[in-house]
This record gives sequence, structure tokens and C-alpha cells, in this order.
Amino acid sequence: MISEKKLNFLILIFLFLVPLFSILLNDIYITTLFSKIVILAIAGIGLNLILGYGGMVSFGHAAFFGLGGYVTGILAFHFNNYEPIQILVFEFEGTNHLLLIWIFTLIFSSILAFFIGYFSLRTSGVYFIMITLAFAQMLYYFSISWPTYGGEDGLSLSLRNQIPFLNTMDPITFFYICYVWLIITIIIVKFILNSPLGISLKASKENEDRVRSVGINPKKVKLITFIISGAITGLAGSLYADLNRFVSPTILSWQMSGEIMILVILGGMFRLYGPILGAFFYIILEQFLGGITENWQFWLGFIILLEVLYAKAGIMSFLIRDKYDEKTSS
Amino acid sequence: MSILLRIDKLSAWYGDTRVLNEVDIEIKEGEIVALLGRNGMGKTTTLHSVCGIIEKVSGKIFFKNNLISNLPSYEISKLGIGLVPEGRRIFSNLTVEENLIVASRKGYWDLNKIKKIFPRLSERLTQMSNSLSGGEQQMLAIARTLMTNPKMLILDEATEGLSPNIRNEIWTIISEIKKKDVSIILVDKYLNKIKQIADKLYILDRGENAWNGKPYLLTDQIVKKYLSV
Repeated sequence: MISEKKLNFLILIFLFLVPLFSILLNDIYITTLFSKIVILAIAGIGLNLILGYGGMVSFGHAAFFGLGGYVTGILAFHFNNYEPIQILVFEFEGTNHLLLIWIFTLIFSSILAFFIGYFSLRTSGVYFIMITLAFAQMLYYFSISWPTYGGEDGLSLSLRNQIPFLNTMDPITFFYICYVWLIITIIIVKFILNSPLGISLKASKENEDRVRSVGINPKKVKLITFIISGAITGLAGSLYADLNRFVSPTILSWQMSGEIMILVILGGMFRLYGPILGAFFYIILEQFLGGITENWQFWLGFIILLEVLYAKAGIMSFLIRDKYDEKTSS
Repeated sequence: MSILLRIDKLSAWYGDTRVLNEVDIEIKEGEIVALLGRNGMGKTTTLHSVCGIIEKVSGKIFFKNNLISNLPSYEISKLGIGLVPEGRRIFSNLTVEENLIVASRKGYWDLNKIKKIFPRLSERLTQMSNSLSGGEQQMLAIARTLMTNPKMLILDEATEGLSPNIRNEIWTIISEIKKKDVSIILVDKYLNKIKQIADKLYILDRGENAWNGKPYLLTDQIVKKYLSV
């Protein structure tokens, strides 16, 4: 049992050293696997902002994850094929510059999150779950029926997108790109959680009427954080597309939304670093249980069942001293 | 002293049931006004109507000459009306400090002044607010509302269920707040204390104005008729 701060620090150190373990064990796949863990952790941190801290059970975060992936894929596809994207009278050649792709991803996911959030936040509870799911499913079916970008087969990228002076095709370099984004995400979300916006979000989760009575519009607070959450998850989707050099409708499916939610719950809601542990255990379970039995998801379900019954704060609660108390700041 | 709040023929309904019937109330700047009446006579409903919490109301409510009866509750709060609701409604998933800063707006009351007036809270800033005692939670509810720097504070049963010591502490705090030119409407059961502290009393009976006047005009006969159980 250690303090939460120490555990968080250890998690970051461990992740930082992953490429070293990978080199020592002479297995570069470990680095690629951990790139996936880090990317899913970023998506999870994005979801946890609204799920754990805001009480908004979004079952449609695959919409942002997938959009991030498709923005990345489509921009690179047009750039690689020398076929400009035509929007009315404008033409855009596409790009393979990651910095530019990330900016586009953040803009498009924010716009989508505004749109989905604006309508979804008029509802609550089970209706909110259903409406977020419905939006994601709309995008999923749209992507399937869009032959320009591969339809059901998806879209392959011949190379990863580029950053000047870095070889993104090198697994270790790409891992550290993801790692830096993880750190940036943690800093941003931590800052938000300790700001009046984040505190209002946590207060809105407890009681919206009470929040209104102190002069705050909880809908506005929730919408702003929903947009931030969508943007973060979108960015994770962009990194995921580059990691696999492939995007397909699968990353827009409800299973993807479920995966992101499961890793948040598994790691521990209300904890900033919970989704990192969640992503780690989820992928490790997938890899190792998947190697032993085809029914690994049955055992995952069993583990989640135990967790929900006995440790609501997730894996984090087993490892740290302070127990479940919906801790607010991390 | 100019009029800060004017309630003009306020009626309110819960579903089809009318619970307030053309209630009139006026509060001047810097005044403490107490709403009295037996349980279920419409005191809390009146306060909630002012704060925009009751959905179905008619009549007009003016605050600083602005019509506020159609505004959402968060806009009313922003104009300078701060409600301390009945039953210590703090944000229990936040720390004491977070409860205070969540709603803070610029003005006389800031964290330092709150710490001075509520020393009990200043010692517990980093504690989760649900770990406070009942009296401390009530103080936190008042302090949180003060941090919004209201021009008018509404205290609904602020001393209910508290020990005599804590109750006296809260009465002292209310007097301190009054000195800072904050008007106060309060609902409370301790008539003797109210008579000492309030500038004006309104008695509600079955959702209607029954009597109003200065505290010294409140006779035993009126008390017996409208307030005795």
C-alpha cells in the first residue's frame, strides 16, 4: 500500500522505461503494445473527465475516437494519393504532418462534441446513455457506407504521418510521442479538475439544482467539459490510427465505446491515473488471457463483476492507502 | 433606504395545488426580514419562488428594480441573491475549500474574510465536507453562499437541529453579516432571537399574508393566532 501520489509517479516512471525493457528483452513488440496502452489511457482519461468526475455516462465516445482516426486517415490518404479534398470551391491536398493533423483532429472532435453534447445534455440518466450511443452508431453506419474511404474494409496508411526531425516509424519514437501526449493530457485534466470549471463539474454531478442556486449554469459546465473530453478522446483516436496505420469502422463501433468505458471502470473512476492502470490491465488481460483461452472476455467480465461488487474505485483502490471516497482532486 | 426586493402578488403552485396566494413582501437595503408561520404555510415556497426554483408562479418579483420572476435560478443568483437552503445542502463530494471557491464571485467576501468569520472552517479547508459535523456543514453552507457576494442572503431554517452553542455562533455570524450591508431574509423557529435581530416580520398563514410589522408590535395574541402549535 502506497500513497496515490507515489503510485502515480511510479506509473509514469514505469511507462517511461518501457522501451528500455523492450530493448533488454529484445522484443520491440512490447513497446508497440504499450503505445496502444498509452493511447487507450489517453482516451480513458478523456472519458473519465465526464464519466468519473461529471457523472455523464457517455456510451458514444467511440464517435470521437473514430473521428480522430478518420480525420488522420483521410488527410493522409489524400496527401499520399495526390487527390485533393474538395469542399465547395476550396481544395486541400491533405497532409502527413502530424502537428497539423492533431490540430485538425482537435478542431473536428471539439465541433462534434459540441454538437453531440448540445443535444445529449438535454437528457440525463439512461436517455443520455442512449442518445450518445445513437450518435456514435450514426457515424459508424455512415463510415461503413462511405466507399471513398474504404467502407467496411477501412483505410490503410502506407506510412505513419510525420513530425520534422523524428522517425515516427520507429516504435520507440512513436511510443514517446504517445507518452508526451499522455503527460500533456494529465496536466490539462488535472488543471481543469482543480479549476472552478472542474470543481463546478464535480458539484454538478452531486446536485444540479444546488449548483444553479449558487449562480452556475450546470449545463454550460457540462457542455464545456464534454467538448474537452471529446477532443482528448479524438486525439487518442488520431494516435491510434497512426499506430496501426489503419482505420476502419470498428473504432467507431459501440464495442469501442464499451472498451474505453470498461478500462475507465477497471482502473478506477474518480482517479486521474485510473484509466492508465485500466488500459494496462485490459490490454494485458487481452494478450495473456487471449493466448490461453478464446473466451478471455468471459474472464474479463468476471473480473469487472468482482470489481463492481467489491472495489468501486477500481484497481487503484487495491494499491493505494486512501480508500474509495470519490476523491475529487488527484 | 431604497427597496431591494419587492414581491408583488406572488402566487405559486405545486402541480394543480395552489400553495401561495398573492403574497406581498418588501425588503429594504441592509434590512433583516423574518418570515414566520406554522409548518406548511408557504415560507420556504416563498423563498424558493424568489430564487427561481419553483416552476409555476404568477405575480412579479423585483430585485434592485429588475424583474426577476422569469429568470433561471443561476441568473438570479448572479444578480446578488444567495440562498442557504434548508438542511445543510453542501456539496459533499468536494472539500471544504472547493465548496467555498466553486461559487466565488468578486466582492467583499473572499476566502480570507470567510476564514476570519468562520474559524472552524478555516481549520478544515482540505477536509472532505461530508466529514464535517452538522453545525460545521451549516456554517459551510452559509459561507459558500457568502462567497457569491450576495446583496441579499436568504437563510432557510439555518439553525434547525443544531446545538445551542452552534446556534448562538450562527446568530452572531448573521449579525456580523448584517453589518456588511447584506440584507437578509430568514425563516427560523426561534422567535425570541428573531425578535432581537429582525427589522421587520411577515407572518404567512395558509399561503397568504396574515400580518406584518416591526418586531415590537408582535403581540401575544398574534403569536397565539398564527404561530402557536
